[in-house]
Amino acid sequence: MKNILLSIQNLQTHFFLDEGVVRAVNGVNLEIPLGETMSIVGESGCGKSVTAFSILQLIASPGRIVSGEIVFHRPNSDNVVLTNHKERDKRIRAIRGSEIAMIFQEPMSSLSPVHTVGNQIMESLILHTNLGKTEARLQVIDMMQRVGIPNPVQRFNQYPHQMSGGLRQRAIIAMALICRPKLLIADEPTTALDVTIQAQILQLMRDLQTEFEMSILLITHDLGVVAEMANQVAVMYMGKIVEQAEINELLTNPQHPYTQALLESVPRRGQQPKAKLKVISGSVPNPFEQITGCPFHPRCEEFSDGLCNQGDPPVPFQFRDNQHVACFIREKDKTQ
Amino acid sequence: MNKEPLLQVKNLKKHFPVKRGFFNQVVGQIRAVDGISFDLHQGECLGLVGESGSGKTTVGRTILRALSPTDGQVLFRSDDQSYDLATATEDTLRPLRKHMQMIFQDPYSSLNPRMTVFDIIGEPLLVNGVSDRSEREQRVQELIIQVGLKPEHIRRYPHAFSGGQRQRIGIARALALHPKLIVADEPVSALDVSVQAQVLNLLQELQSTFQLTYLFIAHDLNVVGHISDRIAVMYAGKLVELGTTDELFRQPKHPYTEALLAAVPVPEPRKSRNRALLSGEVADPANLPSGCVFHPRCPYVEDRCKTEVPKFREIATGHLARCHLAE
Amino acid sequence: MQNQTQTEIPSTPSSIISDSNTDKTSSYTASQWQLMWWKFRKHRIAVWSATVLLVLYLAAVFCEFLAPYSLSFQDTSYNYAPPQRLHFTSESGFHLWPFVYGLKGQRNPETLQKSYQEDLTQKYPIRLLAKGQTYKFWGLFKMDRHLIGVDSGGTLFLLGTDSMGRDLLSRIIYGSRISLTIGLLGVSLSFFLGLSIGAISGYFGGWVDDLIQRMIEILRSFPQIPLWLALSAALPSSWSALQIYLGITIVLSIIGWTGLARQVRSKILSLREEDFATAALLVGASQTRIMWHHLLPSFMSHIIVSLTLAIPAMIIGETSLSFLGLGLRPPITSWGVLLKEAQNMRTIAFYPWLLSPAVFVILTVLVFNFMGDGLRDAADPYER
Repeated sequence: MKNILLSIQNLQTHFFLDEGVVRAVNGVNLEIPLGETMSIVGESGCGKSVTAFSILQLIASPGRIVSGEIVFHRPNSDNVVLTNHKERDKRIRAIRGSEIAMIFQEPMSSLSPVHTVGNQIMESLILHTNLGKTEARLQVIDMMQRVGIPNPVQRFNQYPHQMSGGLRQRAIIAMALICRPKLLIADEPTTALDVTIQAQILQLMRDLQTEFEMSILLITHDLGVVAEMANQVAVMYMGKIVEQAEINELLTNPQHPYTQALLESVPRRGQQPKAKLKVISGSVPNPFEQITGCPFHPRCEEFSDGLCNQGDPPVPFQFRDNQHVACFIREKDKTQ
Repeated sequence: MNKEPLLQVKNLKKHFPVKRGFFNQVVGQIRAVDGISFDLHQGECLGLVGESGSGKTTVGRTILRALSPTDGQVLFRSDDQSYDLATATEDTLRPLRKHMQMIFQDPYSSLNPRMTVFDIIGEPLLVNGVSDRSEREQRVQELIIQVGLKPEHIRRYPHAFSGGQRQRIGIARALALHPKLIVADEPVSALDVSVQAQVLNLLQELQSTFQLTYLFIAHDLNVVGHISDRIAVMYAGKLVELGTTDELFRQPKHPYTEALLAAVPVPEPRKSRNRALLSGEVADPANLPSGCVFHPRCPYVEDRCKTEVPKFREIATGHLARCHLAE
Repeated sequence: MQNQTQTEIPSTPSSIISDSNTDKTSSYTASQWQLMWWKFRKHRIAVWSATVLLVLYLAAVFCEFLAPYSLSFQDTSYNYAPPQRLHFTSESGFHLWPFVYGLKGQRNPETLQKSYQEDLTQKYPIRLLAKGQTYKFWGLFKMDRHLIGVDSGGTLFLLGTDSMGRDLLSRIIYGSRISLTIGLLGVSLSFFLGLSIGAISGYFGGWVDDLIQRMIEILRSFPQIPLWLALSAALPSSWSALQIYLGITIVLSIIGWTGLARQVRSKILSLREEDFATAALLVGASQTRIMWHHLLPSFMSHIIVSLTLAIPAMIIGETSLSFLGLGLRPPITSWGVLLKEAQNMRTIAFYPWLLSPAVFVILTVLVFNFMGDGLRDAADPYER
């Protein structure tokens, strides 16, 4: 039995807009094991980022966590039920940025243009520890070195605009890791970067994960990045996890029709040139819409009338040892 | 395949002046495109790959004269005549424009939100002399069906459509004048994976239906490889390699291409995690390194790479690379 | 294989759009202005402000009819009369219809101040469409009906009177015609100047742009009020009321256009880089077409918003100039001219109602700003 660092139970985060209610996260169950990388993949609007923001209690109005429980199992300390605390609670603020840290997609907007990079990294260290300035500065320079920023002593006094995109992303990683978090939430950390730089950053994240023994929750749309990074993958569609599995299982033996189609629609090298790509027909439904039965049924190739479009949405069932699928058809096949 | 290429780009350059100070003095040049040459044949798809800042977008816009080139030739064949687009005046250019169109990256900013789909797709027709409204309407209906949307959609405004659907509208606009050449500038990179596949399939289908010639610009090697016959790799304003898709993927001749291929993450179970990673950052086009522009990042760098500028030479038949060491 | 994809592609993209939800479908075909209106409607304060503004402007249009007295009315026996109260109750009980008591003026023999008492024996019910002084509606039709009034013999000074015994409410209503329109006129002039100069600057660029930008910087570096003062002092005193009025609007808009011109220029510069403008160029559209069909409509809504926000500045400008005696002068009646009467401490101490035009100035400026706020939010309905 693995140790669990964070567990999410039946999370529902809804946004109450004039046009209606968007059920951005609609009943997500997820466990992040200690020291591993869990990845949430999905297309835009599937609720993957909202799940991450819900963990940190960073859901702003008109959004609200309607129900569910998120428990942070701290390795050498008591458990914290994150959902019991408000956004501005002291308890949450102490955890956010120190024990759970987050890095965002856009390297430029996560850094303030008017403060030096070094001071920005140092800020959270001073906020969460009682280190003196000189001591903190040394730690920051050490961390900058570790994330691969050359000449950290000079770079400490530079402003973000004096750095390249890759260096800025490294600075953001340094900022997230400075308090040695137990969980790092990375929301599309490399989407804005070029492939050669992306490869560097992914390598860096893997190295630091081993070094700091932290868990990573990686949120991305890129199945390639997931293959590089994750131990476990959860595929999300319309606010629900449709399939969750160990990474190699998912890549070689996907079960949910959505996962299958997603994997097949990516062009790959070595494929027959100019062959038709597999497509998922239609596009992601209107977020206000409530679909009865399986939310994927209007676009599903294996759709079976009377089975998929009725009643409550399917619940993930254990398909294999390390693979859960939320699909009526697979469930029926399995039980027969 | 015709012997005469549809498009011949010769030593194309586009430099942007860097201005500073109160009086806007020119203090330097950004060499976004720095001497690019390639041929493009009728019915072919040439992929142009590069990272951000490599100048690939500028190449596309300069060829179509959305930007004026600093130097070089862009020879375009139309009705058995050859025109140099690089030096053509706006008056010579206008009748030629209908033969070459562009598909844009951003499905949001490329459609005027204040115009209906009919007005957007109908604009090329209107400015090119189809003044009869019902005739335009009929043509727009045809186009909208060709790109997989519905005729009743033409009364709607762009905000009613998803990213993928907007991209289809952009494609319909590009097709409206029966162009020969289409420059597709990252047409799928803003789209979700499943929609990306839809649009790629559509582009392929249209190419075979209308014998289109594509210059397909993208940063994603897998996407480019999927649709292109040949691929040109760009780094810091220059082509570093050009070859057929198959050869380039199997036997990359330039260390940059090699690194690029290795860096692309693939959704397959990983075999080994440790690959040769490129160190350093993409070269700054305002301050290019001496010798081979790639030498500061190159794992095989030798002394002469730092001083001698390598030539873009043919290594194998139809396979060119800009590297001293390639053979 | 071919067949399968042929059927697949056309069916793919439309699933979310083909839902026959009439509400949604109408939003799909809604033009920019419709979307703006829908968004504006949600901004409640802005809608209220717009209503108030509408009422104010209607008052300006129908001022002859709405004002209980005509502009020429004066009765020195009622000078500095305080506002009369509307009564619903008297010794005879509750009245459904309001009335006023008669006014009795007495001069205090020591201070020689006049003081007014209500004459409880005289009751004058408020009459709708009362017959009063004759006036020429819009200077065209001879009429003698006023919206409200009292029977002859009584007085109806709801906001008091001034030194010459003129009804302040009537004068404020008349003044709104000048004060509210001078803003509109000034803004239209600024609009014309700003749009054309800004467009030239953004469109041609180069040295023309440099020249215009430096000129704007110089104009804007002058302190506003002294510049206004200097310019309006230069207006010949022999000018007629109408000429002064037009002169002042020109003075006000000489500074007003600069901000607008800058906005137009920067919008044109940034919009020219938008892909849809490039797309139009590539299909062979002429520069004029790109300008008129793509660039101008794209920032028209923003321009209208900044115009709305510029009107109150014009109103304040007129009020301050007239207050200082350098703007409009009697016999023209504007809010600024009215306020000029309340210039010294003594008047304010004894006759505070003379300040009531200021309330209207403040109200107008506030509602303009609130409405501008709502418009600004609505101006870009395509925000993602």
